Amino acid sequence: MDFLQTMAPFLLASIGGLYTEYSGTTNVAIEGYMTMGAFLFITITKVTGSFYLGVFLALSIITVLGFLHGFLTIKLKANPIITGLAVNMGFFGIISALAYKIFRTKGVILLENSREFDTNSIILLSLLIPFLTIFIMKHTRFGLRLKVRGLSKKTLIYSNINPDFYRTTAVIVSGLFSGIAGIFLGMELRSFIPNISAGRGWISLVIIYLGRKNPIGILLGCILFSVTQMLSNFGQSQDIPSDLILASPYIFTLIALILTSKSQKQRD
Amino acid sequence: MNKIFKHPVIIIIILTIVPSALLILILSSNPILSFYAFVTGPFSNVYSFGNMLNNAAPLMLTSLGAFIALKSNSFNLGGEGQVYLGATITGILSIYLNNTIGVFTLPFIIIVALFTSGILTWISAWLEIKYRVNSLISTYLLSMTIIHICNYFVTGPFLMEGSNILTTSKINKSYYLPKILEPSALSAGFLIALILVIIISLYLKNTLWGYEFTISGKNRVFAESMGIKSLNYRVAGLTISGVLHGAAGVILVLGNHHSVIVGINNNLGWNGLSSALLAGSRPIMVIISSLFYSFLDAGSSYATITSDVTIELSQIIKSVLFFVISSRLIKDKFIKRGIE
Repeated sequence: MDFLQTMAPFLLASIGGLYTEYSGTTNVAIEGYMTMGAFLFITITKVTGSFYLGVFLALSIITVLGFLHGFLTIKLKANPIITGLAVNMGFFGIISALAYKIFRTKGVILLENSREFDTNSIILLSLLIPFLTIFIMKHTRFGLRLKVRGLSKKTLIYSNINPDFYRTTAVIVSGLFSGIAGIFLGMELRSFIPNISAGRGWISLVIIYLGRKNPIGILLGCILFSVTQMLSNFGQSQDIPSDLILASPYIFTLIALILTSKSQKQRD
Repeated sequence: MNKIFKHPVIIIIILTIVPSALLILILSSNPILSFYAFVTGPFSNVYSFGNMLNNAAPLMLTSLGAFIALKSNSFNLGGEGQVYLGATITGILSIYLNNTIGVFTLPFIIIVALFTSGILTWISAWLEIKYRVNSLISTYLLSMTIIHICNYFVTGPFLMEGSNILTTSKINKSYYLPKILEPSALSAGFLIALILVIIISLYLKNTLWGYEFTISGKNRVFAESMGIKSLNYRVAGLTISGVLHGAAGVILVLGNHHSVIVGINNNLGWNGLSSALLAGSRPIMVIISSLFYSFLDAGSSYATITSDVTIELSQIIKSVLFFVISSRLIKDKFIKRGIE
């Protein structure tokens, strides 16, 4: 169970990022969306006192933000990587500014109600999502067109389909999944802390590349990464300095990247 | 005069000031006062003006580093780690070699710091060429690893006891860079950064090496067909980028903080990247964009003092700026020569 809990945010965020990869861009702002999701969920739940409203409004706001992010990037003909970084920076700035405006603190925002949230549904969702994605990409019109958007824009234009719609939707989907991952983190801690995502968004990006941009590969990548994470948690209880343990997932990921690239090279 | 207004940087600045004014309007209870403080604060006295320039020095180097990486057509997303590494090695070696102060100690320390941060990005370049690991990812991963390892050294063996922040003890007084504008903290680091930018700018413009470097970044296939070994230039670009980020860390320690504080990198890597993108195609513009950035930071902190705006204002403004910079639409509309 612990293992699945570690894995869920990675799985959600990286599968979400996969949609943008299919549509031919990269969403670098996964980290920002995750933090935003957690922040909005905790804030709205705290202010309104309703858990469902918190989830619903948080995801609605993230949808709007994702739309703006995707749409503006296309309309301004901007470099998606740069706008992704911009969104990241902007989100962190907005979160701090809002947290200070609403709660007069930039630190931890606690949910005082002591009721435990049931995160099992989200864990289940995270496990289903890779297979759902395979289905969507293979058997639905939306999925197929999304894939085509990544392969060739002209095909869609000649078929009289709006290509911008698919790219924007992909960014929204990616933002939503990352937002759900953020909500999951918020539920687990029952509070919002700055840097709640702790690099998970970036790691998810790496997992996408590690998994060769397909859902099953990503699932395997998430399993690998969660194992290293669990090992590092185990190591913390031993006598190894915690900073070196915190560094280990990144090193493992890099090694995994090198190994998979090597095997790919032999296949070429 | 008309030509000046057509310049990309000017357009970008104008396009940023409008949204930021709007932001202040939303966030502040006294917008006019905040905005006034924001714009005039950094110039109000020698002290704050000098500090603003002092904060621009490391940023100038990181932007230059990011600029070189971009020029060679690769992204360096590991700036944070490289800055931290340069700073940590400088600080730790200075403290470690405190008993053996000679003529060559400081140069030795600086060379080691620059060398290690250069090696860090060189590894990324090497991985990209040998194993096809995207340098965008490997620079970031290595940087995160290095940040944690540096944290271990700063908070472990070299932690200063009894301090209320996580920091190492101060480095030797004789290592401090001289101050050049009392009473502010402005150190000679600013001049060093300035000179470095100018040297690299001239080098890229006026030497064969610089020309070949630019060409291989612009169009690899063309460069290869002209007999230029573009791979070497790509490796060189990333390596120099790492060295410059390391240099920013060195200046941070010798000129600004005189010790290594946890998180001394303080977003310098990301800001350097965006400031490099703002600078556009000419390295000399790095100076102006870095100054503008540190003005934004200084202005936000002034606005914070005078009213209830938070310090993150500058971060939000920068993100708006990012969008504007990277927009090709604006480029097509206003600028004939292009930003990149």
